[in-house]
Amino acid sequence: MNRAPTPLLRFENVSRRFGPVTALDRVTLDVRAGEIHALLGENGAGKSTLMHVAAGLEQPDAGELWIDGQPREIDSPRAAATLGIGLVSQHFALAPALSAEENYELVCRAGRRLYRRRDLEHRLERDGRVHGLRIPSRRPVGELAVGDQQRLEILKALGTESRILILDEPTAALTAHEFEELASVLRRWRKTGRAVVFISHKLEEVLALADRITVLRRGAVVGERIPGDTDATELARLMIGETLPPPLERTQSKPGPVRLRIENLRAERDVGPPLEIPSLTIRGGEIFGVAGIDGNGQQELFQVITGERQSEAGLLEMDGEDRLQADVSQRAARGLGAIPADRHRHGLILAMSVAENLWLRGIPGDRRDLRPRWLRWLPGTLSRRRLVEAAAPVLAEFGIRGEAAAPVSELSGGNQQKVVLARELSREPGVLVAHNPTRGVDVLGARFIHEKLLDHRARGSAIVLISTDLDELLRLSDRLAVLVAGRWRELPPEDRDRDVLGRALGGRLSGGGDG
Amino acid sequence: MVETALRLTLPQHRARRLALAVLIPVGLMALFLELSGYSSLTTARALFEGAFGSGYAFEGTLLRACPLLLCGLAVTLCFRAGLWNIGAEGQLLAGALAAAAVGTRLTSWPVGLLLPTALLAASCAGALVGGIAGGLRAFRGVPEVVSTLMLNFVLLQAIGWSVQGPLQEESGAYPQGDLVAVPLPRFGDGRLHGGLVMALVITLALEVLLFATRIGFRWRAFGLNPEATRAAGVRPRRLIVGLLLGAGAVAGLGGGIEILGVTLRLLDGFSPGYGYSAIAVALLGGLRPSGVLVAAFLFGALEAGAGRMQRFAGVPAAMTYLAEAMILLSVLWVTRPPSRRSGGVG
Repeated sequence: MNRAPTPLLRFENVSRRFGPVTALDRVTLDVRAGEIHALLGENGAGKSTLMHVAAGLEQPDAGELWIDGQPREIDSPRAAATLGIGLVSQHFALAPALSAEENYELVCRAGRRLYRRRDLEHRLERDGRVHGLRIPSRRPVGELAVGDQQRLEILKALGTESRILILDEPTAALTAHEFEELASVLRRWRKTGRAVVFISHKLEEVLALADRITVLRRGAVVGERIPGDTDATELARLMIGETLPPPLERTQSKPGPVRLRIENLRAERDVGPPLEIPSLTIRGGEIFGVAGIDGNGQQELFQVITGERQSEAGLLEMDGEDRLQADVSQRAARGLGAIPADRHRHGLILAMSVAENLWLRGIPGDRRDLRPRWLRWLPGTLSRRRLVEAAAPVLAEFGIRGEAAAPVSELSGGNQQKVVLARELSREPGVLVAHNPTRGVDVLGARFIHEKLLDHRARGSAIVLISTDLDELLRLSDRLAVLVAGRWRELPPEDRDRDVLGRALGGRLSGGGDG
Repeated sequence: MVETALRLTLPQHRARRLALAVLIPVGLMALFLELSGYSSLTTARALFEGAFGSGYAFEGTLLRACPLLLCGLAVTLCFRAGLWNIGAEGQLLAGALAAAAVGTRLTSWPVGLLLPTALLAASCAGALVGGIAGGLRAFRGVPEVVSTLMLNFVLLQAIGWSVQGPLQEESGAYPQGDLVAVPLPRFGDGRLHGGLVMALVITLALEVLLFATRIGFRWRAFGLNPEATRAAGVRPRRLIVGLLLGAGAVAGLGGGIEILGVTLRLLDGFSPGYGYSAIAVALLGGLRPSGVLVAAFLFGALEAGAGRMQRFAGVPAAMTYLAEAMILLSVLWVTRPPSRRSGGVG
């Protein structure tokens, strides 16, 4: 075929600035019918912004959008939906208190004023079966596993008869098995003459799934490739503008004294069987990996360690002292650091400045130099200007790109995560618990976070790493356990293998965390 | 809503927005008055003269601004932390009740001791009422919107009962309390009392507390993201109870000052709803103590001018409440909603 078909969606010289930051710089891009088009780039490269332009969430400062060869104005999400563009955002747009079938009904109305709950359930199940997406009904969506929520989001986009489905980092919280499921759904769907835009920074996934790959760097298109004609090395170089450094080497661990000990711990979960940990001992200088799909007790484990959730029974010792009854601030004062999975909800205060977020845990020892000059005599005072000044070296140490005085919401996802990391690590925690610390973070950012974790391991911290990313776990952990349906199982050293681990998690778990 | 109100404080276009926020309600009010057969110019003049036309009028403005300011500060503290305290009225009434009780029943005490005691009692009573709402929220999960509003009614009835019962004047002629033994000192022979100075000092102190201390930092953080603040180790119960105690104390002091400085005796209905207007004052002031000071002055002027407006232009004094409502609504209207996306670039 010589004649290129009219693209379903075409961006022409689209530009967008946020204050001093150029998010998109004259981007031209075609999305054709029947293709899975991957948009590859680092965090902050402009991938999400570009797709938000297509979905009517952002207006371009310059440039045009063409749909079916016609220039179109997409000034609202509604206009985008009318034109057949469906977006599944990185942060889900679900009503957490409603069930899956009710959320589905909100978007894809059945066209009847009166309905029975059973009808909604049937419709969800029927439409789900058509697309191969099984979603548990009747339970509040907020209680479902991330994978289930994501399947629901995709079904919502498919149900509104989108012709162009945009998935923003859909695999950030999915296991390999769940990714395969998603891939087969998308491949099937593509055959119907529609298009998928798939945003990712995971090279392997993009190579496995995409028909065409467009690479963005700092808001501009830097290359377009066909998976057969390229490889991960070239894509990585396009993406980050340099050759990827060799993989991290984990040095032999030098276990120190026991820093965290848990025995016969039991904690109720919001859904499903309770979390039970018979025995867990972590020494300084160790990273203990906890593998499993979110929704199987991961959140509860994290909260039990931080003190946000009370355990009903058992023993929890930090540095040899009983801390079972201690609350969040008491444990933090004894050297516990925590990196939560959802940085927007639990890690940051988006409307506050980067500097303020760095000090959110409090300031050690009421530093006089952080008081305003005219209130230097008054304990407990705090100068926002001094906080910003004091934040500068931290920003430099952690390579955070952004202004210390700017709201943390203006930073890219990777830089936001580094703010959380910087806050927790600069307190030199004896015990650190991290939950999906590299979720939605680009290659270099993730590598930086891994380096920092290993660095603190070498300095004698005990680290609990709860993650869905098996590669991350295998690379960093000294010991490993799986957490499935609230049940804890430590793996013997000879089982440190991707396939064994995948099997331990897969199979009965593929439907999510409903155990 | 915290962020809605905070948008007022964004520096960009602030002047233009605030000008709009004043011009729109003024225009609407003028239109409304003309349509109802009043002269808007006459009305405006009467209103202005009633608020600023003479030394006496200006005193009236300041005196009305004082309880509005203190209640507005109480509301501001709570709103900043995401606690919807609409009970400044009840806290104010509780303060008034306590000040009147101390000021008329402990008359054997020396004046130098009695006055501070009366003011302290007013603060404590306000704090108690706020603290009840705080405790209910912190330990039983009762929404403070409901509890503070309900407590307003309780305190309203408590005053009504007191002026006919335990605190009624000796002569028993009217449903009102006796004159207090220790009025607040006044400046010269005017009506301005020492409570105004206290209110200004408290405004300054709260501005510092909110924006230049670690406690204020935690409060604001809690208002913007309670979950993350809790995860960072702030104890929410302590914070909620502490804040409502503090806010109640400030509003209660306002009630005490009103009794000891203006009415000099407990009266049923001495407050024309200061605690409710204070919600508008707090929002109009951008939830900053310094802004609340300006907003309280503006509303004080409106309410002070209302009497003259009624007498000389024949416009019902209640029209000022309409004006206040329209000012607030237009301010909230001209402040644009934030961008739909709160996440970062990319």
